[in-house]
Amino acid sequence: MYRLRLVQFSMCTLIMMFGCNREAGNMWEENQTGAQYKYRSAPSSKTSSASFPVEGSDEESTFFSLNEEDLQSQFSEFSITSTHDLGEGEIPKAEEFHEPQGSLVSLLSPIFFATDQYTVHCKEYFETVHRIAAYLKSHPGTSLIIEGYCDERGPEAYNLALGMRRANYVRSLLLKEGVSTIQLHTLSFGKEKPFALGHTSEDWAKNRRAHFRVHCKS
Amino acid sequence: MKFSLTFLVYLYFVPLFSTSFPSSEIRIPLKTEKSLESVYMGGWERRDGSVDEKYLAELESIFSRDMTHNGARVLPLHLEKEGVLKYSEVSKAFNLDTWKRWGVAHVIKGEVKEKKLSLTLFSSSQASLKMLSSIELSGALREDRRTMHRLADTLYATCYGQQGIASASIFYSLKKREGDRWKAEIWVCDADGANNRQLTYEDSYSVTPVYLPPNSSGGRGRLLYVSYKLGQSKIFISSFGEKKGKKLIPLRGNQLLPAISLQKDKIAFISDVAGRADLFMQRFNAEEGEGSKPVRLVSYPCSTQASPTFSPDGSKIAFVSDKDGTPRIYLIPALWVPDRITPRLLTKTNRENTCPSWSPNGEKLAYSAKTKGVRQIWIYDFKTEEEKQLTEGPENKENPSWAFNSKHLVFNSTDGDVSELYLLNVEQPIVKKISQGTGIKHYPVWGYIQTIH
Repeated sequence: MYRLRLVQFSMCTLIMMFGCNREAGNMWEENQTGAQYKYRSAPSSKTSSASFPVEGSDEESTFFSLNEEDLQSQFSEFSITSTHDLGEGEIPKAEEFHEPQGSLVSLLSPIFFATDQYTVHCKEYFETVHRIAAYLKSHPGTSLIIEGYCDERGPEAYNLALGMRRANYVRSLLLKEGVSTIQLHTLSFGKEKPFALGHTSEDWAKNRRAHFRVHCKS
Repeated sequence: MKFSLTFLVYLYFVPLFSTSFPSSEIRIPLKTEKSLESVYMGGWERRDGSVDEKYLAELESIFSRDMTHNGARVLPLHLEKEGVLKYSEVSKAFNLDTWKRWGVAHVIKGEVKEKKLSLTLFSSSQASLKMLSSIELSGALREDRRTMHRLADTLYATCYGQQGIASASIFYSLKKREGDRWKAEIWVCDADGANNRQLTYEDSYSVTPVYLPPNSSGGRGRLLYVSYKLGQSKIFISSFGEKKGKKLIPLRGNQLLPAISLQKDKIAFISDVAGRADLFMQRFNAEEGEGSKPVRLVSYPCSTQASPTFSPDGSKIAFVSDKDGTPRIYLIPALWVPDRITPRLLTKTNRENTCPSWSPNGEKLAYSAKTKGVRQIWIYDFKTEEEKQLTEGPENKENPSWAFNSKHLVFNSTDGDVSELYLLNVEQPIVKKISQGTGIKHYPVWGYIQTIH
């Protein structure tokens, strides 16, 4: 145990000496101006929230996050990405989004999930994501709401969170393709607002989806 | 008036009720040893025509059902007993030997005169007679129904030394399809499902209400809920009487499934502000609403977190996560630290466990678990660390919520296009459907009726 503590102390000293950005005690702070996060000093893990640093004057959308360097090194594809609210600044309001029309109907076709899953493995869907990403990158004035849905068989409350996960999974795929966070927004209705009102396996499959609504800046 | 020598009656003229009810809650220290004592409720007598016979029968029925819901063992009407209660002499109507011989612990006799209801409570187990001061009936069923609820809770507390739930209210989300649009608003009803009325008018989709009790200085309490009226799901707060709520937490992204600590100093919720379904906690100022910045407590790259619930002392949070495969319930300390805390797995019996609710006495966690293909209500006992199935039957049951007495649960069924509210006394194997009217009723939580006059 003492040897471990000694190693830890030595490592901390080295980090402090060489000014590494990824200090173990740091916290993430969301950058208001874009998709990136910036580091700031954090209190020690034993400090109470009363002594947490007060953020800048813009109170919107800041939170104290977890130290998760460990997870990022293991799951680099699931990096943290900031989000923006509908109606915030230049971002259109919810009522300005609508169902895809014309050529966008086939481009923005829903992505369907297997039971209890929030990831997809079908090549077709990755191609869909790739095409959507290409379109969004070439149309920076276009933005999407990605709505996550579940079928009626799952538990209600948990499905709200699962729908959130599905929507954010599709968002993360689009972000990986280089789409701006400003163009992507998420929403989850869980099993609250089913598309198919029946109770067959076909209906359930239709309701396990990430559904797109679109806003095209005129 | 003639008294039997062997019959010692402590005669009280205790004004348990004044003509106007006190605004504070009735709180009785909990005891359980008398919970199986029987109550005989004689038919209420009309001394004049001031109240319609059918109307009085309805009030009597409401009172009787409330007593049963509270946990009283109400005996059916009996000719011989009714005959005894007809005696005007107290010594004959409430003869200790007679009622003891019949095995009746408590007798409630009622009569109405000049629109005033007078009740007499005789307890053979305590050899006591209590006459309650007259209660004026309004003639309006909605109001008199509430009077019956409070009367039942007072009588139940007097007989059994336990809090009843009849005068509590239940908040829930009511979902309806209007044309091609789904809408949901927050509604409230009495503990027996009656007196239901709409509280929010967001013209949107509102779910998962949380009742925020008033502070010690009084007031009517407030309501938290999730609404989609801004496009994304956000937590809103509203006072009773306000038809639209105000956004509570200025955090980007979606917010879902809020929970408030009993101390009203912390709020936990699920948010995707960082691109996942993570568990957040934030200091909460009951007077001013939102407090400090939220802290992300639980986040894993490949898992979904849901449904936080605080321990009564606010020191721990139970929540749902599928971090190890299927949704199960985990426990973490509610600490303001940015370091990752390793959650402790609580529910091990079933593969799918969701929507936990921590009992106010801290002893139990109610949750829904998929059992042989059907979601049933289960209880995790913190003392024994055992899990116990409470409900049976073919319907899925979800979203249990503990009443303040840690004895009653309200939950909703979820089957296809139907979802109703049910009341469950965990000490009795009786589940009672309470919801009325059309629409899908779900996410029920408890509150106090005094708060919503």
